[in-house]
Amino acid sequence: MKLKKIVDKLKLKVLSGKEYLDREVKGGYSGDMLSDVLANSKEGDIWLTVQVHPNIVAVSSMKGHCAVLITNCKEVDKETLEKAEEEKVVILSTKLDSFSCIKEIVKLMKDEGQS
Amino acid sequence: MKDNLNLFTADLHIHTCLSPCAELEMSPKEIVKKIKKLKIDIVAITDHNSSLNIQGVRDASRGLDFKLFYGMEITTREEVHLLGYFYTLKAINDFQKFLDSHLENTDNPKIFEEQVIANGKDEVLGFCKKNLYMPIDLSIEQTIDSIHSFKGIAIPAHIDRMGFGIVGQLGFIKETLKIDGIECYDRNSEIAKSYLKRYPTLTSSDAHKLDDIGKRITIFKMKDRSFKEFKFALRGEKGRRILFL
Repeated sequence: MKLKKIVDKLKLKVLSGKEYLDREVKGGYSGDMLSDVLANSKEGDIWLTVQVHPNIVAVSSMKGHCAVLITNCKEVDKETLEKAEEEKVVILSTKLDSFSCIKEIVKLMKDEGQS
Repeated sequence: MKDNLNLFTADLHIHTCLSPCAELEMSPKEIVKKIKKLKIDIVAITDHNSSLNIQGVRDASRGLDFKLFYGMEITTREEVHLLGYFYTLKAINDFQKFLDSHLENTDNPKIFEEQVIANGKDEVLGFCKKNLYMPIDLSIEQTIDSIHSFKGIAIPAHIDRMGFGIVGQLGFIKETLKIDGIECYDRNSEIAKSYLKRYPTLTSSDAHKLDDIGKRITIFKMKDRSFKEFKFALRGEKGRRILFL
């Protein structure tokens, strides 16, 4: 499934990497401790987190996620978004919490026969 | 002429009964009694997001032969625990005023202990109503800059502890982060070993009960027990330094 489908369906804001929404979503990971995400998430995952620190860009880039989705989002550091553009990391945001997002994403994946 | 340098033991991470996760027995008088018994040269009181009990410990330690540093363990927006140490009581109290505007007014939930404010005679002065365990609304970078603007020292706490440690929360320590050192529980832990060479490293007890005080210490080689010398030791200036055992 393309990232764009999730963005449209969940009405997500695209904060960086607008040109990479055709990326394939292979799976997903949810976590707010970056050490855990480094250890356990996979390439092609859409990563859901409440963290907005610039380190999320490094972690996501290193793991090759298709995007970072910041949930319960109020505001994201400017530095995070600048780095994300440099590193070609897609940052999405929503006011929804992670669980609500995951439910929707799983539904979409099922429709596509992906899970 | 070269300064005469001495060795000093220090435990720079001790909570009082003000911290919601600390035992009630951590009262100013009891803490001071324990420090006196263990003959530790320098100690710092570091409650979560608050300096309210430092005056009490200071009063309780009057006339005793150890040096008290004024500290605080701040929970940043990323839920990283960051230690701030300040020169004077005025400096930390001014910092507290600043911090209060960044800590939300949420009631202390029942799952935690009461947050007891005590004086030097162990009399209860009151209870802190704000939940001190909550994060402030500043990022770790903003918090470090704020500590520095009050001439304080900023040190991420227990970097080798997954929960609330900087590496656990943020994956790694950015080289550009303007910290003055790091604190670890165990110098032989994998995480500590990967940062020891980059930063001056403190080991402190993070005591939440009396028996924990002095369980881990740092040894400083410096001229005296002043805060100024502590700064020199962190920077490795004038022969001052942290000794490894």
